[in-house]
Amino acid sequence: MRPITPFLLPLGLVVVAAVLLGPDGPTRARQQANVQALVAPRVAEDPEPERVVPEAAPGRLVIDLQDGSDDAALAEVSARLGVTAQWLDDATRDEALAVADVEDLAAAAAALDGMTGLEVVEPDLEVEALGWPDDPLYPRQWHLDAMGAPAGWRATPGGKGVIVAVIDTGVTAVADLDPARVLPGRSFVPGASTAADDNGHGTHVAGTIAQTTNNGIGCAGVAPYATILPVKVLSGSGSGSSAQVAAGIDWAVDQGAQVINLSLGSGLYSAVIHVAVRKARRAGVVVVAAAGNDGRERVSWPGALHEVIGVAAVGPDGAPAPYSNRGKGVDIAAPGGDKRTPGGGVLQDTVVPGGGHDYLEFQGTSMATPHVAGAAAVLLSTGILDAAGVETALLVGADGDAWDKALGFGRLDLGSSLAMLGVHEPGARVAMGLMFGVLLSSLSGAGGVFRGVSAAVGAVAAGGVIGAGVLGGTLGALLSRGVLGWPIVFLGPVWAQVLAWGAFVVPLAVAFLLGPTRLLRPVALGICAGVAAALLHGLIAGDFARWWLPGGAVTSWFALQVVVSLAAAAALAGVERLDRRARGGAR
Amino acid sequence: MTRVEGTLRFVDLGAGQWVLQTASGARHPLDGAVDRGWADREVVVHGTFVDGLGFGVSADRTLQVHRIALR
Repeated sequence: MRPITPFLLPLGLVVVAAVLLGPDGPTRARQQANVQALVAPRVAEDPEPERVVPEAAPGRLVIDLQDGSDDAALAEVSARLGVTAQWLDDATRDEALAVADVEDLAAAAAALDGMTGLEVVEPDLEVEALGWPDDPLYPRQWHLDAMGAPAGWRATPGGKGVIVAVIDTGVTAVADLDPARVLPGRSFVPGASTAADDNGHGTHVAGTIAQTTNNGIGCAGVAPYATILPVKVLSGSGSGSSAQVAAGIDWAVDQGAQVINLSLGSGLYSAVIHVAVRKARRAGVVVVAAAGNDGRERVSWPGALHEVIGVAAVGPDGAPAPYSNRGKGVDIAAPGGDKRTPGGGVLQDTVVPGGGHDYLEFQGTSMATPHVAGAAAVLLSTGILDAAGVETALLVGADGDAWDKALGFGRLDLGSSLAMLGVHEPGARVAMGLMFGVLLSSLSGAGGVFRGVSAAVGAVAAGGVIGAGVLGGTLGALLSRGVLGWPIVFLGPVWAQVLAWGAFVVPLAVAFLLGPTRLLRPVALGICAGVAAALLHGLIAGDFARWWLPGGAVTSWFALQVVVSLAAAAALAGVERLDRRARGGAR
Repeated sequence: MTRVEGTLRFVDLGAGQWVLQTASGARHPLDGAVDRGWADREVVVHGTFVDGLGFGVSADRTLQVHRIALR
């Protein structure tokens, strides 16, 4: 028997890498590479650590003892300080890091001076993570994390090439809004000759959709590479007529808008707006509108229209905002803010009265709506969905289990919507497919060509060809995702979710149809291994919709499908081994 | 021209909007110049109701202000 041990080491490394990287692996790897690039020159110089002299003030002291120091050393620290020091946590116990809250940092540090086994003592400093994006106000934009914007930044073109019409008080290209991505626009307000914003509402809305992101200033946006089409239909005091709004919608559609944001409304139904929205929908435009701010159980128009995605608002705690309207017509909820909580508003760059700009917190269903419009732009920029597909992905991806009058189908979750489309950073899936292909094919005792073909097919079947999305069209869409993602391209995300429940049929069919043919056997084995890898990764990443079933049932079924797929691959390896033995016997 | 009495409120929604709250509970968004110092004061508004829309996304009709005075 040919030993398989030589394969286990690299396979083990791949497994460890895949597990550690997880669904966000490549991003983390890039971030780690960036951090390493920053750190490397400093490490090369290898200077002695500088001693930080604490102030004579109360605070937390961090004490780094020699690795492996025991509780007796910790007790000595406590005795010297006169307060109880404790290990930082169990996970870093081997590093012997302890902390103590003291009244006088300087005196406490002096008390430890000269202690045997003490490596470093210094005040515990607050540190901030380095990462993408580098917009300094991003940490205050709780609303972007709450709706999954980072998933779009990592795994999609971020709205690139998608035109989003902001039908509002106008849009001004403020400092943190790239003017190259703001079209000239048009005003439908008497007396306003341009689509410049004379209020601040429209620019704030545009910022949530497409604020320039990772530019080192200000805030971030949901779809940072989308193009904004400003359409001014509201005056500086925030009002406009139904004729102006309808004309704005018609014009935006004519200009090629693919998403229309309507952070406006009223209590009165308007047939002329309804007709304009219908035209937009028939032209393949996603139309998103605010549910209204009366705090009543009646959704405003046009948010209540069937053709529109009606958006309710939630606060930082995820609960419905008190001002947000409820009832029929609410399709989804998104962060609209709740300023009763400090920092609880939606923060973006906008114009201010008297000129200039500022980063301001607003609240309202007006603010919730552009989060959904931005998410629609991100989904459209993946290139595989039409307006109906985007709507489905948004609503099915939302976090609700059933429709609710306050939250609709749930809170917006862009990460979940993207996962339904099979849009992941593919590194982890490809690594797992490769690993399963190599491992299972090695059971066959076959030569390098068989194992190589199995591994390559396993990688592609699991996660597609990395970078193939740039080809565009159906071919690019197919090649850029694994086998489980193919139904999305032809049937849409809902059917893909349904078919995933029967994914085990693929490896069984492939094994029966291709397995008997010797030349196709490594391909069949690779497909089985790739499907197993994709199913396992999807299970870990939580990609499969729970529908009405309890989570345990979903996990059990998909785990069973993983086992069936692996068994099919192992069976093919066994057939190859027997085949080789028979051929050897014949010779 | 309509004459409407009520309390002037600044509503912190969107970019903020002036609203006339009437005794019947209606909250009419105001379209036009309003003296910021009159917040929460009783006022009389002479204006025209318009079936418009606004970023306040309010169910009540917008009142286009022609003249406003303290009551």
